[in-house]
Amino acid sequence: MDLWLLFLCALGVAVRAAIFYSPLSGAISERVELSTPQTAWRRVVEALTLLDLGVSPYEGDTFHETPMIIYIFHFLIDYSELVFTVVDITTTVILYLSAKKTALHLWEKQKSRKWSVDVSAILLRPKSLHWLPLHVAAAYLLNPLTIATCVARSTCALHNLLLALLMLATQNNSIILSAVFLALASYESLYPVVLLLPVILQLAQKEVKGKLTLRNPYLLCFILEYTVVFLGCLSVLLMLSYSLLYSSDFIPAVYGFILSVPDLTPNVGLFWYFFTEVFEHFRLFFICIFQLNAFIYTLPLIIVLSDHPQFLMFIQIALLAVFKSYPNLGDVAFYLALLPTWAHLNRYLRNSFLVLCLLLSCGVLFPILWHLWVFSGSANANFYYAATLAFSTAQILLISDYLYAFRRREFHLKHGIEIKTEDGRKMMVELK
Amino acid sequence: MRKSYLCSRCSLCAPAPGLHRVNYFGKMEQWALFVFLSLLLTRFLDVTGRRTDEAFHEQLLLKPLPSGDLLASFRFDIEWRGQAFDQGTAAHLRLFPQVLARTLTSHAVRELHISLAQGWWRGPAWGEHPDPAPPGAQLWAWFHSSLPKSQVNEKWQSLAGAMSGLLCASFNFIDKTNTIAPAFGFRPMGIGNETDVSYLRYASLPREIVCTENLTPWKKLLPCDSKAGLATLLAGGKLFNSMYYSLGLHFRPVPMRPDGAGWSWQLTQTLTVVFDGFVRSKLTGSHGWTLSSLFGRPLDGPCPIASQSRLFVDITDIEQAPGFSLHPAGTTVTEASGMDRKYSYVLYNLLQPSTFVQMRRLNPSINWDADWDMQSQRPWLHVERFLTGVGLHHGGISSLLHNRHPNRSLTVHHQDTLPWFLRVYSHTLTVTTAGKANPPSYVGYHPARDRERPHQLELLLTLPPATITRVDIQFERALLTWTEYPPDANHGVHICAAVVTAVLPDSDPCDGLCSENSPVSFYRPLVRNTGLLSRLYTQTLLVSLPTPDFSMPYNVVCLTCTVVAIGFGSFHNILTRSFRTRDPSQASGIVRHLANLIRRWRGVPLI
Repeated sequence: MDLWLLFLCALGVAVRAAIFYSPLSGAISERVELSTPQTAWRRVVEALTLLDLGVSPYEGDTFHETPMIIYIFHFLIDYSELVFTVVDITTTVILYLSAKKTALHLWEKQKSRKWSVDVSAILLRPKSLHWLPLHVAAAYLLNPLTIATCVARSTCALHNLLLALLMLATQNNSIILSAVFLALASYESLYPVVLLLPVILQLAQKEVKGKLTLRNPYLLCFILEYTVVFLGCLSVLLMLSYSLLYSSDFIPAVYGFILSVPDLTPNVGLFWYFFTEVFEHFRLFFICIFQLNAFIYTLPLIIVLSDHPQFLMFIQIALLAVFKSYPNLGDVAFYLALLPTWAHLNRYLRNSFLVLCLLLSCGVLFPILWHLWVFSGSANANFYYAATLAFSTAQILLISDYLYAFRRREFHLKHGIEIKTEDGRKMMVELK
Repeated sequence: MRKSYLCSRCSLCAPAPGLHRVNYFGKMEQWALFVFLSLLLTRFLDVTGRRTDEAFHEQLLLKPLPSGDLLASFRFDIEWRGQAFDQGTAAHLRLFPQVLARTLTSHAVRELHISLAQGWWRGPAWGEHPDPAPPGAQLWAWFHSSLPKSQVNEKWQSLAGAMSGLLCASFNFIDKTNTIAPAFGFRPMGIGNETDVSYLRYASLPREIVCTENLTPWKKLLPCDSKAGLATLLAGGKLFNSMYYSLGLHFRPVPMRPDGAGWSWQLTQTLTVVFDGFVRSKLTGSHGWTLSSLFGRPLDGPCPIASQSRLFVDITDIEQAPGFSLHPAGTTVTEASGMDRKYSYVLYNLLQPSTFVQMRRLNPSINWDADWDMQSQRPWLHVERFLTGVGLHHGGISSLLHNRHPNRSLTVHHQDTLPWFLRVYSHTLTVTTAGKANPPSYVGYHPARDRERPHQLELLLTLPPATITRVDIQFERALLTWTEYPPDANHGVHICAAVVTAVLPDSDPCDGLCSENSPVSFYRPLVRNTGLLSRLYTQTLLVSLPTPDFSMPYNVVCLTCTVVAIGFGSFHNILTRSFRTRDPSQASGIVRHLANLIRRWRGVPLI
């Protein structure tokens, strides 16, 4: 199986190298779906040029990445293709290891449970679990979206690497490492801070004695402990960033920028056209609502999925990719790569055909409608906006479908696959 | 020391009391006699009413251009002599426009330069601009260094508003998003060696359309308005029916005497207009013109309170033309330049009664053969600019700088102000000369901040002789909120002209040795010993921006909120409810019927 991974990585590198040195790479790096104002490679190069000119990269409003990115690429700018390929390979390997752990965890969890009725049809099978890590790795490395993100040199690839590291560290129950990677991921793109509670929940399952209720003093202690470590890491990162340029300009330029959405360059998300068109005096109100929307799902998810922190983490990461202020296809590629982990839910998906059609048609429509609007002038912004709306709707349907399928499967694991009345008629299952 | 101001005449004259100071009733008869005598003197001895501390000069230069067009360049100077031009002074002015003086003193303005131009100055065909101006409006000012730096922005904003009211121009659109403080290129034009650019503000409005509503208030600042003197020629109908016109207004401190000693404050108003020679020759049937054919009327006389009133006709290039004639004859003035080139002018001194003796009106007419090819010297430096790229996302701006000098390199300063919504990428800046990289010796770049300040790019370039240097930079267009677009958003936005400042060799007709009778170009910095500073402006650019659908706000708000609500709703639904079983037979008839229809279509057992 490791040989397969090696083969996969070689294939991934070959594909990336081929596209990097083809004329396609220029066209791909200009796609707004891949390079948002936050992650565009062009802006990283600009920041380094500004540094060379003796101007702070945060003096203007072009660069919205963290000083760490400047620091990394200050040395590696000439090897950017290599760096992004290596980052993708590393992410893949880490996802592979993480998926292996998850598969093991799911298997052990299934073994430890006692089934009252016959549910063998929906139980995990060792064979599928065996191939699961490789599927995850392939779904990430060979996903056209990941490849495009890599070729566009979007810094989103680095964000994904940090998320993958966070997942692996959490799976391995290493508290310090997971806090470090959570701090790094939050420092890079702010939104992963919502993963704090899911990560704590997952770690607490192994680390904390007793039931995981808020009355459990061990749990409270653990939450406090972990939060302190996380905040400590975060403040060290912020201080290091401060010491790189001796200015705190990066805080408004990165986090203020993410939260207040001043740059309305089109992307695949919901924010850009809304805040282009919204009435000026409602702007602040809607920004608060939209940002709240990105953070609000954590608590109810934790309450409902407290026994399944891995799934909770997946749903949370997927939701961020839809509801963040500058989403791009790299984020989408990341959570799509996690879908094979939850392949056993496919039986209960309701809208998979619709979602698949929507996603595929959006993939075709994005470049076409963009071309019609920006180059040939025969369409306007509404067309592209419609495609982004459809794309967001498809993702929302997909995620909610997985959540539905997960809960439905849990229900059936408990009550049997077919529930019958006393006189032998099939009962309907519905949400109530 | 070069003389660029025309004031020596005043210092020669006797300090006679002014006409307007007659208010001693006790000595009525004596004064009446004096006034009478003064009037006589005024009429016949060319001694106009003047005071020692204020003077007014007017001048018009007519110059046939190599392209066959005709340049008319008006210049009106009002000079106030004294060190401190302050609130007290502003209250006791006779010639200097009160309204302007009050504004300037209350805003602590040390130098003010305004230009309003319609059209682009075609350098290669027309030569050097007497008072260079970019298309549209331009305003720049140096404030007194006594002003606290924290107040400069506030004063600048208020000054722009006041100038907007004074000249009926859109200077009120000047704000922090289009104001810069260039490090080089806009050094003081008058006395003083101020280098702290925190007292300098520069803004340019390329969209401005200049017309008669600007000319009328501009004319009102002149002491004679348009009632007498050269200003009577400024009739809108004729002026605006031309290829190019620009209005200028400059206020600066200048040395009082040619040796550079003493202070005086000078208000210079310039008007430059280029008449279309081709259309004119087709209309009139000859290759020549008269004053009345240009301006619709001849000259009646000078402005009576002017201490100098002159009309020059530049005949340098047509003197040798076959069929050349100029009527009536005037005094011919010849200037030699360092390039073995002679400049010839015909001078009509309007204050000399003899000018108006033969005819009551002065209407010079000039004619020459249309076949004559003018061998005019073309300017050494020429700049132009254009947009590159396709589509509404990325784009580029390219400037071409032509150095036409056969054997001298030119060092030029290139300044660009670009609005924030063009996200300029400085790493895409390339300077190439004849296909080879020619890196600028200095790059001053201040990136823009969204909705706060523009990009400011200053380059110091060396242009090798007889080459074209190309400066390229790439940008990305931002999408603005729907209320931020200018009216008629699909027309695009105008981008300010780039400013190229250079020290040019031999471009000065007098080469530093102008005699008093020479119509020297206005545009020269005083108290500067090395070369002649020349400023050139490129074309303004029209950039199309991607636009949202302006009729859509309600729809977009509704649609996006619907999608968010789908997300919120479905998660709310799944997370707050739990699965229950239900007996299908208990479903109502219609629901079951519909469900069965679907189930039949799906091929699953009915309920």
